[in-house]
Amino acid sequence: MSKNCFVKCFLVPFINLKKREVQVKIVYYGPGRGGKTTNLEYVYSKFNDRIKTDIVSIKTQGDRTLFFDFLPFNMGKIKGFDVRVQLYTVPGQVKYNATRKLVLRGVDGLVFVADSMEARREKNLHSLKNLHENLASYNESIFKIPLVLQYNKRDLAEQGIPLLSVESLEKDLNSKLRVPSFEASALAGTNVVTTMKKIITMTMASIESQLK
Amino acid sequence: MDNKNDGTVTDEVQSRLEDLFGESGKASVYMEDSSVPEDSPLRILKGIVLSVDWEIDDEVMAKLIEEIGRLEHTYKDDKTLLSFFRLLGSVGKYIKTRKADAHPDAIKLLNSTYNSLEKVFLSKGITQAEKKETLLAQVKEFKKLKEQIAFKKADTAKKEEVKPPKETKPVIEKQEKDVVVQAEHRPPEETEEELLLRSEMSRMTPQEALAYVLAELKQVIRAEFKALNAKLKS
Repeated sequence: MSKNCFVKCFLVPFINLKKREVQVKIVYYGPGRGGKTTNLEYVYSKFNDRIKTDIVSIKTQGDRTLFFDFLPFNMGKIKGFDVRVQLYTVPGQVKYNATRKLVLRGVDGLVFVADSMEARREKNLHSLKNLHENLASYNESIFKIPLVLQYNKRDLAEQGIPLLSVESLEKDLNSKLRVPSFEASALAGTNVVTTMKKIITMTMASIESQLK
Repeated sequence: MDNKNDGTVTDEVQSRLEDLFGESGKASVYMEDSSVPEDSPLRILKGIVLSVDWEIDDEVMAKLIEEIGRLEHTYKDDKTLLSFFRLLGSVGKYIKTRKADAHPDAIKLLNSTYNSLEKVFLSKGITQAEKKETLLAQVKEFKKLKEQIAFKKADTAKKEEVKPPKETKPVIEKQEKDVVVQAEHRPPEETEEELLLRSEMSRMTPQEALAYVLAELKQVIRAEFKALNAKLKS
Protein backbone atom coordinates (compact mmCIF):
# COMPACT_ATOMS: atom_id res chain seq x y z
CA MET A 1 0.00 0.00 0.00
CA SER A 2 1.28 3.42 -0.88
CA LYS A 3 2.41 5.57 2.01
CA ASN A 4 0.76 8.47 0.23
CA CYS A 5 -2.53 6.77 0.87
CA PHE A 6 -2.10 7.43 4.57
CA VAL A 7 -0.73 10.94 4.39
CA LYS A 8 -3.13 12.34 1.85
CA CYS A 9 -5.81 14.85 2.74
CA PHE A 10 -8.89 13.02 3.95
CA LEU A 11 -11.32 14.45 1.42
CA VAL A 12 -9.20 14.17 -1.68
CA PRO A 13 -8.58 10.73 -3.17
CA PHE A 14 -5.04 9.81 -4.05
CA ILE A 15 -4.49 11.13 -7.55
CA ASN A 16 -1.12 11.29 -9.22
CA LEU A 17 -1.60 13.67 -12.13
CA LYS A 18 1.93 13.16 -13.38
CA LYS A 19 1.59 9.40 -13.58
CA ARG A 20 -2.13 9.69 -14.31
CA GLU A 21 -3.07 7.30 -11.53
CA VAL A 22 -6.08 7.25 -9.21
CA GLN A 23 -6.24 5.15 -6.05
CA VAL A 24 -9.69 4.52 -4.65
CA LYS A 25 -10.04 3.30 -1.09
CA ILE A 26 -13.24 1.48 -0.19
CA VAL A 27 -13.78 0.32 3.40
CA TYR A 28 -16.23 -2.36 4.51
CA TYR A 29 -17.51 -1.37 7.94
CA GLY A 30 -19.95 -3.01 10.34
CA PRO A 31 -20.38 -5.08 13.49
CA GLY A 32 -18.16 -8.05 14.29
CA ARG A 33 -19.11 -11.35 12.65
CA GLY A 34 -21.30 -9.43 10.21
CA GLY A 35 -19.63 -10.74 7.04
CA LYS A 36 -17.24 -7.98 5.96
CA THR A 37 -14.32 -10.33 5.45
CA THR A 38 -16.62 -12.84 3.76
CA ASN A 39 -17.53 -10.17 1.19
CA LEU A 40 -13.88 -9.73 0.24
CA GLU A 41 -13.19 -13.44 0.35
CA TYR A 42 -16.08 -14.08 -2.00
CA VAL A 43 -14.80 -11.48 -4.49
CA TYR A 44 -11.32 -12.93 -4.27
CA SER A 45 -12.35 -16.57 -4.58
CA LYS A 46 -14.69 -15.87 -7.49
CA PHE A 47 -12.60 -13.46 -9.52
CA ASN A 48 -8.96 -13.89 -8.59
CA ASP A 49 -8.25 -15.24 -12.06
CA ARG A 50 -9.49 -11.94 -13.50
CA ILE A 51 -8.21 -9.42 -10.99
CA LYS A 52 -4.88 -11.26 -10.62
CA THR A 53 -4.10 -10.13 -7.12
CA ASP A 54 -3.88 -11.42 -3.58
CA ILE A 55 -6.01 -10.82 -0.54
CA VAL A 56 -4.09 -9.91 2.59
CA SER A 57 -5.75 -10.92 5.85
CA ILE A 58 -4.43 -10.50 9.35
CA LYS A 59 -6.50 -12.65 11.66
CA THR A 60 -6.62 -13.79 15.23
CA GLN A 61 -6.42 -17.43 16.15
CA GLY A 62 -10.20 -17.57 16.24
CA ASP A 63 -10.45 -16.46 12.63
CA ARG A 64 -11.55 -12.93 13.45
CA THR A 65 -10.17 -9.88 11.68
CA LEU A 66 -7.54 -8.41 13.99
CA PHE A 67 -6.21 -5.62 11.88
CA PHE A 68 -7.75 -5.58 8.43
CA ASP A 69 -8.25 -7.43 5.19
CA PHE A 70 -6.96 -5.82 2.06
CA LEU A 71 -7.84 -6.64 -1.53
CA PRO A 72 -6.37 -4.36 -4.19
CA PHE A 73 -7.06 -4.64 -7.91
CA ASN A 74 -6.57 -2.61 -11.07
CA MET A 75 -9.53 -1.46 -13.09
CA GLY A 76 -7.43 -0.41 -16.05
CA LYS A 77 -7.62 2.99 -17.73
CA ILE A 78 -10.65 5.19 -17.21
CA LYS A 79 -10.62 8.63 -18.84
CA GLY A 80 -6.90 8.22 -19.35
CA PHE A 81 -6.19 7.46 -15.68
CA ASP A 82 -5.03 4.12 -14.30
CA VAL A 83 -7.57 3.30 -11.61
CA ARG A 84 -6.55 1.13 -8.71
CA VAL A 85 -9.21 0.06 -6.24
CA GLN A 86 -8.34 -0.97 -2.70
CA LEU A 87 -10.95 -2.83 -0.68
CA TYR A 88 -10.43 -2.89 3.07
CA THR A 89 -12.33 -4.33 6.00
CA VAL A 90 -12.13 -3.14 9.57
CA PRO A 91 -12.21 -5.35 12.68
CA GLY A 92 -15.80 -5.28 13.87
CA GLN A 93 -15.24 -6.00 17.54
CA VAL A 94 -15.86 -2.98 19.75
CA LYS A 95 -12.42 -3.05 21.37
CA TYR A 96 -10.56 -2.43 18.10
CA ASN A 97 -11.74 1.13 17.51
CA ALA A 98 -8.25 2.56 17.14
CA THR A 99 -7.61 0.15 14.27
CA ARG A 100 -10.95 1.02 12.69
CA LYS A 101 -10.12 4.70 12.79
CA LEU A 102 -6.74 4.07 11.25
CA VAL A 103 -8.20 2.02 8.41
CA LEU A 104 -10.85 4.71 7.82
CA ARG A 105 -8.22 7.32 7.21
CA GLY A 106 -8.27 8.38 3.58
CA VAL A 107 -11.42 6.42 2.79
CA ASP A 108 -13.22 7.35 -0.43
CA GLY A 109 -16.25 5.09 -0.18
CA LEU A 110 -17.92 2.89 2.42
CA VAL A 111 -19.98 -0.28 2.55
CA PHE A 112 -21.76 -0.78 5.85
CA VAL A 113 -22.36 -4.50 6.26
CA ALA A 114 -25.27 -4.90 8.65
CA ASP A 115 -26.13 -8.20 10.28
CA SER A 116 -29.73 -9.17 9.53
CA MET A 117 -30.03 -11.42 12.57
CA GLU A 118 -32.63 -10.14 15.00
CA ALA A 119 -30.24 -10.60 17.89
CA ARG A 120 -27.76 -8.25 16.22
CA ARG A 121 -29.97 -5.18 15.96
CA GLU A 122 -28.21 -3.28 18.73
CA LYS A 123 -24.78 -4.12 17.35
CA ASN A 124 -25.73 -2.70 13.95
CA LEU A 125 -26.92 0.53 15.51
CA HIS A 126 -23.85 0.78 17.68
CA SER A 127 -21.53 0.16 14.76
CA LEU A 128 -23.23 2.72 12.53
CA LYS A 129 -23.01 5.27 15.33
CA ASN A 130 -19.35 4.39 15.72
CA LEU A 131 -18.80 4.94 11.98
CA HIS A 132 -20.50 8.31 12.23
CA GLU A 133 -18.24 9.31 15.14
CA ASN A 134 -15.05 8.03 13.57
CA LEU A 135 -15.77 9.88 10.33
CA ALA A 136 -16.54 13.01 12.31
CA SER A 137 -13.12 12.76 13.95
CA TYR A 138 -11.70 13.25 10.43
CA ASN A 139 -14.12 16.14 9.82
CA GLU A 140 -16.04 13.99 7.40
CA SER A 141 -19.79 13.46 7.32
CA ILE A 142 -21.51 10.13 6.98
CA PHE A 143 -24.15 11.99 4.97
CA LYS A 144 -21.68 13.16 2.34
CA ILE A 145 -19.32 10.26 1.76
CA PRO A 146 -20.35 7.62 -0.81
CA LEU A 147 -22.00 4.89 1.23
CA VAL A 148 -23.88 1.68 0.50
CA LEU A 149 -25.71 -0.46 3.04
CA GLN A 150 -25.67 -4.21 2.79
CA TYR A 151 -28.16 -6.26 4.80
CA ASN A 152 -26.22 -9.47 5.09
CA LYS A 153 -27.14 -13.05 6.06
CA ARG A 154 -30.55 -13.03 4.41
CA ASP A 155 -30.03 -16.74 3.61
CA LEU A 156 -30.44 -17.60 7.29
CA ALA A 157 -34.19 -16.98 7.05
CA GLU A 158 -34.50 -20.31 5.26
CA GLN A 159 -32.94 -22.00 8.26
CA GLY A 160 -35.59 -20.61 10.59
CA ILE A 161 -33.25 -18.12 12.23
CA PRO A 162 -35.13 -14.96 13.21
CA LEU A 163 -34.07 -12.07 10.98
CA LEU A 164 -34.89 -8.40 11.03
CA SER A 165 -37.19 -7.44 8.17
CA VAL A 166 -35.73 -5.25 5.45
CA GLU A 167 -38.23 -2.57 6.41
CA SER A 168 -37.00 -2.67 9.98
CA LEU A 169 -33.36 -2.48 8.86
CA GLU A 170 -34.16 0.42 6.56
CA LYS A 171 -35.93 2.21 9.39
CA ASP A 172 -33.09 1.58 11.82
CA LEU A 173 -30.16 2.33 9.58
CA ASN A 174 -31.25 4.11 6.46
CA SER A 175 -34.11 6.41 7.37
CA LYS A 176 -31.80 9.41 7.60
CA LEU A 177 -29.00 8.33 5.32
CA ARG A 178 -31.17 7.34 2.34
CA VAL A 179 -28.34 5.55 0.53
CA PRO A 180 -28.46 2.51 -1.75
CA SER A 181 -29.07 -0.72 0.15
CA PHE A 182 -28.93 -4.38 -0.81
CA GLU A 183 -30.10 -7.60 0.77
CA ALA A 184 -27.24 -10.04 0.60
CA SER A 185 -25.64 -13.28 1.62
CA ALA A 186 -21.90 -12.81 1.60
CA LEU A 187 -21.38 -16.49 2.32
CA ALA A 188 -23.38 -17.46 -0.75
CA GLY A 189 -22.22 -14.49 -2.79
CA THR A 190 -25.69 -13.07 -3.29
CA ASN A 191 -25.41 -9.35 -4.09
CA VAL A 192 -21.79 -9.19 -2.98
CA VAL A 193 -20.63 -8.05 -6.40
CA THR A 194 -23.67 -5.80 -6.87
CA THR A 195 -22.81 -4.03 -3.62
CA MET A 196 -19.18 -3.64 -4.64
CA LYS A 197 -20.02 -2.40 -8.13
CA LYS A 198 -22.40 0.16 -6.68
CA ILE A 199 -19.93 1.60 -4.20
CA ILE A 200 -17.13 1.77 -6.77
CA THR A 201 -19.39 3.52 -9.27
CA MET A 202 -20.62 5.99 -6.65
CA THR A 203 -17.11 6.65 -5.40
CA MET A 204 -15.72 7.25 -8.87
CA ALA A 205 -18.58 9.64 -9.62
CA SER A 206 -17.89 11.44 -6.35
CA ILE A 207 -14.20 11.75 -7.19
CA GLU A 208 -15.06 13.13 -10.60
CA SER A 209 -17.38 15.73 -9.10
CA GLN A 210 -14.70 16.77 -6.58
CA LEU A 211 -12.25 17.33 -9.40
CA LYS A 212 -14.62 19.47 -11.46
CA MET B 1 -31.01 4.09 -4.55
CA ASP B 2 -29.89 5.60 -7.75
CA ASN B 3 -26.59 7.27 -8.20
CA LYS B 4 -27.19 10.96 -8.64
CA ASN B 5 -23.87 11.51 -10.42
CA ASP B 6 -24.57 9.78 -13.70
CA GLY B 7 -22.20 10.71 -16.47
CA THR B 8 -19.60 9.39 -18.82
CA VAL B 9 -17.20 8.36 -16.07
CA THR B 10 -19.97 6.36 -14.46
CA ASP B 11 -20.71 4.62 -17.75
CA GLU B 12 -17.06 3.80 -18.25
CA VAL B 13 -16.68 2.55 -14.67
CA GLN B 14 -19.76 0.39 -14.96
CA SER B 15 -18.58 -1.07 -18.22
CA ARG B 16 -15.15 -1.84 -16.75
CA LEU B 17 -16.72 -3.39 -13.66
CA GLU B 18 -18.89 -5.54 -15.86
CA ASP B 19 -15.77 -6.76 -17.70
CA LEU B 20 -14.07 -7.62 -14.43
CA PHE B 21 -16.95 -8.88 -12.34
CA GLY B 22 -19.64 -9.79 -14.84
CA GLU B 23 -21.78 -12.44 -13.23
CA SER B 24 -24.41 -13.15 -15.82
CA GLY B 25 -26.47 -16.10 -14.74
CA LYS B 26 -24.41 -16.78 -11.64
CA ALA B 27 -26.76 -17.89 -8.92
CA SER B 28 -25.64 -17.91 -5.34
CA VAL B 29 -23.53 -20.83 -4.24
CA TYR B 30 -25.80 -21.42 -1.31
CA MET B 31 -28.96 -21.49 -3.40
CA GLU B 32 -27.37 -23.94 -5.80
CA ASP B 33 -26.33 -26.20 -3.01
CA SER B 34 -29.52 -25.92 -1.07
CA SER B 35 -30.73 -29.30 -2.12
CA VAL B 36 -31.96 -30.63 1.19
CA PRO B 37 -35.67 -31.44 0.82
CA GLU B 38 -38.02 -29.68 3.21
CA ASP B 39 -38.92 -32.92 4.96
CA SER B 40 -35.33 -34.18 5.15
CA PRO B 41 -34.13 -35.25 8.62
CA LEU B 42 -30.93 -33.27 7.92
CA ARG B 43 -32.65 -29.95 7.31
CA ILE B 44 -32.43 -28.72 10.90
CA LEU B 45 -28.83 -29.87 11.21
CA LYS B 46 -27.87 -28.03 8.02
CA GLY B 47 -29.41 -24.83 9.34
CA ILE B 48 -27.46 -25.11 12.56
CA VAL B 49 -24.17 -25.91 10.82
CA LEU B 50 -24.63 -22.84 8.59
CA SER B 51 -25.39 -20.75 11.67
CA VAL B 52 -22.17 -21.88 13.34
CA ASP B 53 -20.32 -20.56 10.33
CA TRP B 54 -21.70 -17.12 11.15
CA GLU B 55 -21.93 -17.14 14.90
CA ILE B 56 -20.53 -19.32 17.65
CA ASP B 57 -22.68 -18.85 20.71
CA ASP B 58 -23.88 -21.14 23.47
CA GLU B 59 -27.41 -21.37 22.15
CA VAL B 60 -26.42 -22.42 18.63
CA MET B 61 -23.82 -24.85 19.89
CA ALA B 62 -26.27 -26.41 22.35
CA LYS B 63 -28.76 -26.84 19.50
CA LEU B 64 -26.07 -28.48 17.39
CA ILE B 65 -25.14 -31.01 20.08
CA GLU B 66 -28.82 -31.70 20.79
CA GLU B 67 -29.68 -32.22 17.12
CA ILE B 68 -26.69 -34.51 16.59
CA GLY B 69 -27.79 -36.52 19.64
CA ARG B 70 -31.28 -36.85 18.20
CA LEU B 71 -29.94 -38.02 14.83
CA GLU B 72 -27.54 -40.47 16.48
CA HIS B 73 -30.49 -42.04 18.23
CA THR B 74 -32.61 -42.16 15.07
CA TYR B 75 -29.86 -43.74 12.95
CA LYS B 76 -28.25 -45.91 15.62
CA ASP B 77 -28.40 -48.95 13.33
CA ASP B 78 -26.59 -47.34 10.40
CA LYS B 79 -22.89 -47.54 11.29
CA THR B 80 -21.71 -45.12 8.60
CA LEU B 81 -24.24 -42.43 9.45
CA LEU B 82 -23.62 -42.96 13.14
CA SER B 83 -19.90 -42.41 12.59
CA PHE B 84 -20.62 -39.20 10.69
CA PHE B 85 -22.79 -37.91 13.53
CA ARG B 86 -20.15 -38.83 16.07
CA LEU B 87 -17.53 -36.96 14.06
CA LEU B 88 -19.78 -33.91 13.87
CA GLY B 89 -20.46 -34.23 17.59
CA SER B 90 -16.76 -34.30 18.46
CA VAL B 91 -15.95 -31.27 16.33
CA GLY B 92 -19.05 -29.49 17.64
CA LYS B 93 -18.14 -30.10 21.26
CA TYR B 94 -14.62 -28.84 20.63
CA ILE B 95 -15.95 -25.62 19.02
CA LYS B 96 -18.49 -25.24 21.83
CA THR B 97 -15.72 -25.35 24.41
CA ARG B 98 -13.18 -23.17 22.64
CA LYS B 99 -15.61 -20.82 20.84
CA ALA B 100 -13.69 -18.00 19.09
CA ASP B 101 -10.42 -19.57 20.22
CA ALA B 102 -11.16 -22.78 18.35
CA HIS B 103 -8.70 -23.76 15.65
CA PRO B 104 -9.79 -22.01 12.42
CA ASP B 105 -9.88 -25.34 10.61
CA ALA B 106 -12.43 -26.75 13.08
CA ILE B 107 -15.32 -24.82 11.53
CA LYS B 108 -14.14 -25.78 8.06
CA LEU B 109 -14.08 -29.41 9.19
CA LEU B 110 -17.58 -29.12 10.63
CA ASN B 111 -18.81 -27.83 7.27
CA SER B 112 -16.96 -30.36 5.17
CA THR B 113 -18.11 -33.23 7.41
CA TYR B 114 -21.68 -32.06 7.09
CA ASN B 115 -21.36 -31.76 3.30
CA SER B 116 -19.99 -35.30 3.09
CA LEU B 117 -22.80 -36.54 5.31
CA GLU B 118 -25.34 -34.83 3.09
CA LYS B 119 -23.77 -36.45 0.03
CA VAL B 120 -23.92 -39.88 1.64
CA PHE B 121 -27.42 -39.29 2.96
CA LEU B 122 -29.04 -37.85 -0.13
CA SER B 123 -27.22 -39.36 -3.10
CA LYS B 124 -29.28 -42.02 -4.73
CA GLY B 125 -27.40 -45.12 -5.83
CA ILE B 126 -24.29 -44.43 -3.76
CA THR B 127 -22.66 -47.73 -2.85
CA GLN B 128 -21.68 -48.80 0.65
CA ALA B 129 -18.01 -48.71 -0.39
CA GLU B 130 -18.36 -45.12 -1.60
CA LYS B 131 -20.05 -44.18 1.65
CA LYS B 132 -17.19 -45.68 3.63
CA GLU B 133 -14.62 -43.97 1.45
CA THR B 134 -16.30 -40.59 2.05
CA LEU B 135 -16.41 -41.25 5.76
CA LEU B 136 -12.76 -42.29 5.89
CA ALA B 137 -11.73 -39.11 4.12
CA GLN B 138 -13.45 -37.09 6.85
CA VAL B 139 -11.95 -39.23 9.61
CA LYS B 140 -8.55 -38.53 8.10
CA GLU B 141 -9.26 -34.79 8.18
CA PHE B 142 -10.44 -35.09 11.77
CA LYS B 143 -7.21 -36.85 12.79
CA LYS B 144 -5.20 -34.20 11.00
CA LEU B 145 -6.95 -31.46 12.94
CA LYS B 146 -6.41 -33.33 16.20
CA GLU B 147 -2.71 -33.55 15.45
CA GLN B 148 -2.56 -29.85 14.61
CA ILE B 149 -4.26 -28.95 17.87
CA ALA B 150 -2.02 -31.27 19.89
CA PHE B 151 1.06 -29.86 18.18
CA LYS B 152 -0.05 -26.30 18.85
CA LYS B 153 -0.72 -27.11 22.51
CA ALA B 154 2.69 -28.70 22.91
CA ASP B 155 4.31 -25.78 21.16
CA THR B 156 2.53 -23.25 23.37
CA ALA B 157 3.41 -25.18 26.51
CA LYS B 158 7.02 -25.32 25.41
CA LYS B 159 7.13 -21.59 24.77
CA GLU B 160 5.60 -20.88 28.17
CA GLU B 161 8.04 -23.16 29.95
CA VAL B 162 11.14 -21.90 28.20
CA LYS B 163 10.87 -18.19 28.78
CA PRO B 164 13.84 -16.17 27.57
CA PRO B 165 15.76 -14.48 30.39
CA LYS B 166 14.94 -10.96 29.14
CA GLU B 167 11.27 -11.63 29.71
CA THR B 168 11.91 -13.19 33.08
CA LYS B 169 12.85 -9.93 34.73
CA PRO B 170 9.60 -8.03 34.18
CA VAL B 171 7.65 -11.11 35.23
CA ILE B 172 9.62 -11.29 38.43
CA GLU B 173 9.21 -7.53 38.97
CA LYS B 174 5.47 -7.94 38.58
CA GLN B 175 5.55 -10.78 41.07
CA GLU B 176 7.35 -8.50 43.49
CA LYS B 177 4.28 -6.32 43.75
CA ASP B 178 2.16 -9.34 44.50
CA VAL B 179 4.43 -11.00 47.01
CA VAL B 180 2.68 -11.77 50.28
CA VAL B 181 3.88 -13.09 53.59
CA GLN B 182 3.15 -16.62 52.46
CA ALA B 183 5.50 -16.24 49.52
CA GLU B 184 7.47 -19.27 50.57
CA HIS B 185 4.41 -21.48 50.26
CA ARG B 186 4.05 -21.38 46.52
CA PRO B 187 1.98 -23.88 44.60
CA PRO B 188 4.02 -26.82 43.30
CA GLU B 189 3.50 -25.93 39.62
CA GLU B 190 5.12 -22.52 40.12
CA THR B 191 8.12 -24.13 41.73
CA GLU B 192 8.41 -26.51 38.80
CA GLU B 193 8.31 -23.59 36.44
CA GLU B 194 11.08 -21.90 38.34
CA LEU B 195 13.11 -25.07 38.24
CA LEU B 196 12.68 -25.21 34.52
CA LEU B 197 13.77 -21.61 34.24
CA ARG B 198 16.82 -22.34 36.33
CA SER B 199 17.71 -25.26 34.12
CA GLU B 200 17.66 -22.79 31.25
CA MET B 201 20.39 -20.77 32.94
CA SER B 202 22.96 -23.17 31.64
CA ARG B 203 22.09 -21.90 28.15
CA MET B 204 22.35 -18.22 29.08
CA THR B 205 25.25 -15.93 28.43
CA PRO B 206 27.08 -14.92 31.65
CA GLN B 207 25.52 -11.41 31.48
CA GLU B 208 22.03 -12.83 31.10
CA ALA B 209 22.60 -15.29 33.92
CA LEU B 210 23.87 -12.49 36.18
CA ALA B 211 20.81 -10.35 35.41
CA TYR B 212 18.60 -13.30 36.16
CA VAL B 213 20.30 -14.06 39.49
CA LEU B 214 20.13 -10.39 40.51
CA ALA B 215 16.42 -10.27 39.79
CA GLU B 216 15.93 -13.46 41.79
CA LEU B 217 17.89 -12.03 44.73
CA LYS B 218 15.90 -8.81 44.60
CA GLN B 219 12.71 -10.79 44.77
CA VAL B 220 13.88 -12.89 47.74
CA ILE B 221 15.07 -9.81 49.69
CA ARG B 222 11.78 -8.01 49.10
CA ALA B 223 9.80 -11.04 50.23
CA GLU B 224 11.94 -11.31 53.34
CA PHE B 225 11.44 -7.64 54.18
CA LYS B 226 7.70 -7.91 53.70
CA ALA B 227 7.57 -10.97 55.90
CA LEU B 228 9.61 -9.14 58.57
CA ASN B 229 7.33 -6.10 58.38
CA ALA B 230 4.30 -8.28 58.75
CA LYS B 231 5.80 -9.98 61.80
CA LEU B 232 6.68 -6.63 63.41
CA LYS B 233 3.15 -5.33 62.83
CA SER B 234 1.56 -8.39 64.37
